[in-house]
Amino acid sequence: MKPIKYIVDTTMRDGEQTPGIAMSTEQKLRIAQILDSAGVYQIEAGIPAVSAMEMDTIRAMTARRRHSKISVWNRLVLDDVKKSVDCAPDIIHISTPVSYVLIYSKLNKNKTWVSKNLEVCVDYAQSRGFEVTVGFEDASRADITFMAGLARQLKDMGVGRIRYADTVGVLSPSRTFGAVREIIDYAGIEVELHAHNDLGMAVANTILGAKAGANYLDTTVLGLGERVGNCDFLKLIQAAHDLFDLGITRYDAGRAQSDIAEILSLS
Amino acid sequence: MIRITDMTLSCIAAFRPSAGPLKKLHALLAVLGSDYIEMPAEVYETIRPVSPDKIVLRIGTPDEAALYPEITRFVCRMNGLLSSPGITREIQMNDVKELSFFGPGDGSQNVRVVGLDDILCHDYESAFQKLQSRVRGRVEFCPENSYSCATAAALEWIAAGGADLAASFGGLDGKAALEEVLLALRIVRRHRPTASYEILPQIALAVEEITGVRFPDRKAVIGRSIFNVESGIHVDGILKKPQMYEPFMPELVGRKRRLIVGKHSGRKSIAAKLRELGYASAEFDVARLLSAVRAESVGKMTSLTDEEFKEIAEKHRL
Repeated sequence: MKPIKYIVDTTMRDGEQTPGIAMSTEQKLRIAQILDSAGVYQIEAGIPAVSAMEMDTIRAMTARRRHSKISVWNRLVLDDVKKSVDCAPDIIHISTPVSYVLIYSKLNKNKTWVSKNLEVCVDYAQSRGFEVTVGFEDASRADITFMAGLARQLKDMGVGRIRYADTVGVLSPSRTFGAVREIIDYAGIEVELHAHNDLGMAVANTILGAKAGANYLDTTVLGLGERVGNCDFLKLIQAAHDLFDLGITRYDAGRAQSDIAEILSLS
Repeated sequence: MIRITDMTLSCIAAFRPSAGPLKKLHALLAVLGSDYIEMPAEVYETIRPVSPDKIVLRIGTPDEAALYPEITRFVCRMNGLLSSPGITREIQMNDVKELSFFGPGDGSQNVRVVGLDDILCHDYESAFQKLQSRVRGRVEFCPENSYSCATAAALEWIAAGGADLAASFGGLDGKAALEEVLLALRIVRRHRPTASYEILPQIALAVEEITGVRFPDRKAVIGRSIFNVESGIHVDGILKKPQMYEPFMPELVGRKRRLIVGKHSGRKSIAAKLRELGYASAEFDVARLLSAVRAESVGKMTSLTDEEFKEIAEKHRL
């Protein structure tokens, strides 16, 4: 038996952040249907805080989906999380910067602020009955001891899964393996791996993260995403299907990709 | 010690380039500073005269080496029993299982292993050790990319103690992309920390001129649009400190950052775009301009050009 891994497709969140891409409600609903039929475990549908239109799109997507779980992305901001709750998705994902460069220079905050705000935001969503996952943004440039401690705090709060995001795409396979192993060993929490392809290593890093025990793997169709893009949905399934049960055949993945490319007028 | 063989000229030979473009490409690749530049004998004949110092000549049979006394390094696909000093024996291994058939020949020869596309799906550390222990000469690894893992395999080969690597610009002919390998070594292993790679876009153009195929806009390291930023959350960070959302400065690889406005823009991106175009953002209703930009972008299903943005901005002057 091959180990089971779950594909989390973020074409409609991180993929949509590709400069030059702007998806309409209708496009998003059709893309979600294709990913759902192909067997994608979780669809990251968008960011409710962006607009009322985005919220309506997410509600419609949740109403129509058959098997996939619909998740939404949030900054570590309570008002954003409230909008997500209004959309009633399956999973509310809250992303917090974890590297010192982002915490101190971008947010002008500190580690205590991150920890306290996570408590507030996670509790708000959990107490309303939502599954919450937490994203560690810029994890690949963060202090591993801080992240491991944060992961343990979240686990104690009942969060089952954290996302390890290589936000700027600087990981190597062996570093990915080591970091994922360390978090799992220390915090005993499920890890989702989110790789970017800046150095051309997103697929390899995702495979090594999965070997180290990350059970949730982030992809985008055609590898869309900020800058060079994210881990490519089809390339990952082609490369890793011998190793893992990803719930999607190579044939279905290929068909889903070409159908979605057509919707987005991309080749 | 890391030694890199640039195989671009071997990989591009199938396009039958003429002398002019070939000479230009060779000169640009020389500036990039790889340790060796490999080329087939016919390319060498075309671009001569050229200094033989860094050249690795690809030959069809070992006896061709005698035709080029000025050259000291050759590479050739040949049987392991035919040993010739100065000639690296090239072996193709399409998957990791083939490693168990790997005979070391006479064991003292230099070997290049091409392929092993799937090696990262297996116990690659043991596989790399096995390769190194069976050969007394140099082992050069030329990973291939059908598993989208070639650059990563190259990097792990170095991490496992390997020293010699072969790659091609843009990953031509299914090899590891040379520019990815160089930047990955720089960022992950601090290799050549002061080298400049600003010549990469010129090389990309020279390669495109020969192949007639444009590299994808989002191709790692050399893509034309990889330093475009649109989403509000990233623009906000980048305006404060670029390294927040960039793995390296665009200038390192000869590019510039470009601020794009569209569906994902935030107020700060709009204000920054106004400043970039020479407007005073205080003279505009930025919040309403932002809504108009987002609506326009969703309508045309892509981001706005500077001209389109100016037109909308003019309607939102205070």
